[in-house]
Amino acid sequence: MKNFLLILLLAFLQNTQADTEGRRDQILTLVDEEMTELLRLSKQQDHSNPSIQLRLAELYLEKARVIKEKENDRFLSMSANERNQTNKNSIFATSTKFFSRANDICLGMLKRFKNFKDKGDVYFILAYNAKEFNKTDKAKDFFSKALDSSNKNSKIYAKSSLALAEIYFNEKKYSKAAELYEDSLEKKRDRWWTKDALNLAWCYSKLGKDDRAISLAKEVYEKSSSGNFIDMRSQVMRDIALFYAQAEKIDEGISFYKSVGEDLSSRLVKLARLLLDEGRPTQAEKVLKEAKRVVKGQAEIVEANLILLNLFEKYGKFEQHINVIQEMVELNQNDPLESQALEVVKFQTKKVGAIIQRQVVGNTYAGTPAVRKAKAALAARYYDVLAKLEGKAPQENYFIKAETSYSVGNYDEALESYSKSYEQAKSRGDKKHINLSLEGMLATLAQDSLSEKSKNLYLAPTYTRYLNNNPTSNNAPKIFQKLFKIHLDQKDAGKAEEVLEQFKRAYPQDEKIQEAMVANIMELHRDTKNTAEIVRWMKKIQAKEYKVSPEYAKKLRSLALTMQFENAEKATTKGEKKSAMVEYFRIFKDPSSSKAAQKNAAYNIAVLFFELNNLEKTYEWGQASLKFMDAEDTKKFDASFLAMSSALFERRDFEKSAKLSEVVLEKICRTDSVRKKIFFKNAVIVYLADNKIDEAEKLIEKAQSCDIPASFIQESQADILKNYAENERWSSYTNTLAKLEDNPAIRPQLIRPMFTLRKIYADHGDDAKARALEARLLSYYTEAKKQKKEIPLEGLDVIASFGIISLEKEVKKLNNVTLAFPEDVFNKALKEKLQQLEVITTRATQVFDVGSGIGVVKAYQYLVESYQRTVKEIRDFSPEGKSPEYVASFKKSMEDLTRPILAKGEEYLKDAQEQIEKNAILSHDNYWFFASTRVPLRLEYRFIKNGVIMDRGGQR
Amino acid sequence: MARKWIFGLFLLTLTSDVWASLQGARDVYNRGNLDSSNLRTLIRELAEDKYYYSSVSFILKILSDARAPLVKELDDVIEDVVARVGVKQFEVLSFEQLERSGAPTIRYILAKKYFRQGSYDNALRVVKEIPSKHALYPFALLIEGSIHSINKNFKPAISALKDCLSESGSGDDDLSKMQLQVNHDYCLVGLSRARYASGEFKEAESQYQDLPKSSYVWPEILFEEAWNSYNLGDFNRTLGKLVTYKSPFFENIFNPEVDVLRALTFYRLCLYGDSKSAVDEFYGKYENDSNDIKTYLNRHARDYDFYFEESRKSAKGGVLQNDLLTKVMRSIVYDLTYRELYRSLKEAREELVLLRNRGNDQFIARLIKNNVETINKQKQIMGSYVRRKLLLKYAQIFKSFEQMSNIKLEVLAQRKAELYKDSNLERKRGDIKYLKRSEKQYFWSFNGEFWADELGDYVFALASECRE
Repeated sequence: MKNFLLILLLAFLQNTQADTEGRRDQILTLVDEEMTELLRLSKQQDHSNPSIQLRLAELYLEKARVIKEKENDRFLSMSANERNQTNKNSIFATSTKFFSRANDICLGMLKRFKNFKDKGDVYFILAYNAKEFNKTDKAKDFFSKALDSSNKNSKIYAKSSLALAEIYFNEKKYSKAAELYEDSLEKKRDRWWTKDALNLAWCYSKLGKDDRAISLAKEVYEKSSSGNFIDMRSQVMRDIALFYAQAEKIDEGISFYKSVGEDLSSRLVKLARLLLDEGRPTQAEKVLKEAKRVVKGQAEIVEANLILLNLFEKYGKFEQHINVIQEMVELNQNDPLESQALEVVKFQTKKVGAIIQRQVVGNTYAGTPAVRKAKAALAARYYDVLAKLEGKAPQENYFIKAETSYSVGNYDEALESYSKSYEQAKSRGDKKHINLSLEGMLATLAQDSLSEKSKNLYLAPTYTRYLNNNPTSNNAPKIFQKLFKIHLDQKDAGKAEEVLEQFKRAYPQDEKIQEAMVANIMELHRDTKNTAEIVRWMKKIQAKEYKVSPEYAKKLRSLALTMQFENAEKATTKGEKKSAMVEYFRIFKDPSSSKAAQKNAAYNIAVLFFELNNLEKTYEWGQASLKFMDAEDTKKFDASFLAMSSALFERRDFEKSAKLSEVVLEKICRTDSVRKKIFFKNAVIVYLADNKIDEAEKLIEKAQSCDIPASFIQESQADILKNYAENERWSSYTNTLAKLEDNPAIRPQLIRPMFTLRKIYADHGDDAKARALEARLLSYYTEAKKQKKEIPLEGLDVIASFGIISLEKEVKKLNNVTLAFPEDVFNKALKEKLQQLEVITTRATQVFDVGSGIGVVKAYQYLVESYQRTVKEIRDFSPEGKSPEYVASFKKSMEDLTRPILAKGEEYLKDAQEQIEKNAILSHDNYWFFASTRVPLRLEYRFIKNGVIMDRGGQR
Repeated sequence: MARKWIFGLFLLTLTSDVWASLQGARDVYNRGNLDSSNLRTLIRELAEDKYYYSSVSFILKILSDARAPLVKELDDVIEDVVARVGVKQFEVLSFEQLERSGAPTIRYILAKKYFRQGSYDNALRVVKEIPSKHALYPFALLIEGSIHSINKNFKPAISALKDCLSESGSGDDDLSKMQLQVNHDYCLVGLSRARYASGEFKEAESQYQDLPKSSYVWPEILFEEAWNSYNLGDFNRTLGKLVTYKSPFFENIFNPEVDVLRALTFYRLCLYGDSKSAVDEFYGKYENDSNDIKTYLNRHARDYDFYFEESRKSAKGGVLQNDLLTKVMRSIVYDLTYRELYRSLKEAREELVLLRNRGNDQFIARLIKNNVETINKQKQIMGSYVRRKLLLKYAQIFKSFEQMSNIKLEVLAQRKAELYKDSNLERKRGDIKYLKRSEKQYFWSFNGEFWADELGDYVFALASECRE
């Protein structure tokens, strides 16, 4: 049967061959007939018609072609051996002869008919012949000339275009080819249109005009179906898949294939293989990518990927290669690949990874750092995959990856990979890689170009890992410090403390570093105002948990205090007294607060209350603070306390004022405070003001031991005398006065008390003691005057009062002289009066000299009154019984006489006024000099003891 | 409208007072001073006495000497002369000389001269100056229509030609009747041609059928009809029309293109064998003889007398150098133009005879001289015409050979193409279903015998063998 079929086939082939041969012979006969006809025609026209010549040349060409086909068949029908022994030229001699004939005619025509309108046809034949003899350049030249010489709408133009297009197409000059194809296909619609159009579609495809390629290929398919054109359907089916793939319109492609009853997806992988075999990796790649998109099963995707891997590896497209590798890894994770496929993936990964790694570390890309870097990144991806694919020792792959990245300065990636290597190594107990990766990380971290992000991410963990593994290595102290600094920079005091703790364990005797670390931690807390932490650390230091110098310990304490008060002080500075107060309260109440802090807080609270005018609280907190204060502290703030006690006094809170002063005085008793005498004096005065004589006495007694100046003590004693007097404690008065009299220096001040006591004695009828006292006080006055000691005003007033008493006696004497007539009586009395005025004037002057304001005013009053009264008496006097003329003359002469006296009296009055104003003399008698109208009543304001204290608003 | 042929009126006048006019002419001539005024009188006198051919020389002189437009009186006279003698005698005048005259007749002559020269714009300009009342107006309309057709201005062409049809009424005498009829028929054909030229083949076909078979122009126009059918794709009718030329009635018609069209029609029907046979037959018949004609023409060059004599020989039924030449010459001498030219010659000769009987004085001698000049010129004109026609025919033959060769080459090419396509066609022939008829056509199957009333109506029934 098989043989029978073979025989049948052979018979068929023979028949077909015979038919073909017969047809060729018939064609040759017709060609010969045509030639004959043409020659006849040509002859008729004396062979001068170039068109006929051209036609003839065409026929020669045709004849040559047909004969060549026959020759070719003959040549091919020979056995290989026979072919080798045969001269090929002799086989093709006849056709060559006719080709040459055609050529000769054409060349002759070009010479003879230079302006021949169909020169394009001539060139076409020449071009065709050249093409026939594989003279492509010549053929191109002639085809181009054919184009140049022919009408654009002519057939020959179209044919030349096509022929030239085909040459360019074969030369892969698709742009030129497309242009020519387009031009000619538009005009020429013969049965070969489909073939040429498919070529054009290919051109489009090659030029990236995939849509046009598809559209044209479809048209070719349609036209091929019509039967009027060469059937190119199978070629279209083959090629259009690629066009669709390239256009990334596989879906449309599928529709198309479906419409013609085909399945595209099954073709794509095959197509890709074909393309690859044809050396068209780009297209193969595109097709495979599209194939992957449409195929459904994993097996097909894997198949496509395996081809892609080979393709990418072969053409060095490592980026895509690794992408596919990664995709395969994912596929494997979802549904394990067949072992063979997996092995291919591993092999490809290792191979390409190693290639790229070698490229990176080699010198190839030394001059192109960017490329080298990219390569390294790529290699890294391979080692990543390898690490995942190879379960045993991923740390090695990560380490290689890291080293590769490091070598090109990709420090971030390197660090990440070292880290992974470390983790994997650690989990597998691979000490070698633990150390290698740690060293790698340390080296990487030292690189300046490392990103901040990576530094932040890895620096601390790396140091920590290193220190965990090598706590006492040579590098350890530095790394401890670096790690400590990282935490410090990150303001992570907890971690910094951990490092310090770890360091302390490793280096317990290193006081310097420990102290520095502590100091830094403290600074951190200070920055974050974490007082509690500082206090905690202060206690730790006090408990000697860490080794620090005493200086630092002290500094730390100070720091703690400063920090405690920082807020309050700030608030105070800003005038936010309430906030400040709250803060001080908090510090004061805080059990962790030191005594000093509490002391300061209490003092400041007192000050704030003082500023707020809350004297009661001021007193309370002043006292509270004083409890914490020693002498020096108190001395430091004694001015404030003085102000506080003064304010209390002013508010008539004598007791508190005095107590505060007394407590302060007690505190500063032994100090050299300049204010302690003031506190003393104030306290005494206040006690006395509050009529607390006992307290005053005690204080005076204490004062002796506090080095209060004697004068102050004596002054106080003098003051206390007044209180004795007021309280009629005459015994104490007398004793005290007696003691005081012992001190000559104080005697001027005793004039008044002595005068008081003298009055008491006088009142009680003890004149002797009264006189004795008077005599002593006068002597003290005289002595003081002599020694030019200061005598208190009240003392001077006492002395002046004695002068006034004498003056009053003289005034009485004056007033007792009465004027009367006759003239001589009158003259005598007048004389007497004037003399008495002289005495009064002298006495008044003596009072003036004492220097008592009250005495001065009183003395002037008596003096002026005496002068004025005397003048008035003289002028008012009218001699009875005398003539008016006499009287008038008398009065006139009296007026003249008294005018100087009156003037003198006026002068004294003015003096008195000046003296009062000038010396600010306060005297009950002042009114007498300034009142415009002299009234007989002497009005006087009497001060009510313990008068009403008004507040600022005038309310009680 | 029946147009009165003006010179007919003069003829009547002439017969009544013959002597007076010739004598009047003599008197003027004898004055010795043939100035333009006397010349005008002389010409008028001669024309009035129907001595047209004798007056031609005088007319030519006055026209060539004239520096101003002719007076109307003279123009009327010339019109009569031209009507009789024909325009060709006057076409020897230069354009410049002719342009000087505004006389409608001279305008007509000038228009024809421009037309022949291919100067259509000038021709149109001049022909339009001919007034519609003028006797030459129908002829002018033919020229106008033809010019428009040539210029592819079919609308005005058709308008002019239609006017021509209505204006070409019957004449007063046989000659004028014939002239107007011919003019009418040419205008009718002109309309068809205009339709044809504008691609309106259907309309053209209908128009062609308005031309009666009795028309002088029909035989040559049948060929055009055949082309029209061809263009209508009615190839069987084309072949039917062409076969008419084989009829004995067309013995004196020679148109090599008839054979070309037949071969071409076969080709279009893809009857390549028939086409090739037609070509081969044509070559067989004429190839050698045509070469002789070429030699013949070359040898006799511009020997117009020779051609005149040859034509006369042929007209008398003589056989020339070879069959083809005899056939071609016969077709020339039987054409209307030649016959018109010959009529004029004959009349001139008759006038000469008449003159010789009118005396022997100087005046008559001068008229005889003039007449002989005109006769000789007419012979030259005829010889020239014959030569031109021979050349034309030769060119036609030559071109037909080319076309035939090309048809054959196409046939061969098609055959080749079929071989290349490896096709095998069944042949069909003579089936009635391939006939296409219009209502004006009748179906006559050609049985190899021609009947006069069937001529032009034969239709073949060949099926196309072209691929679908």
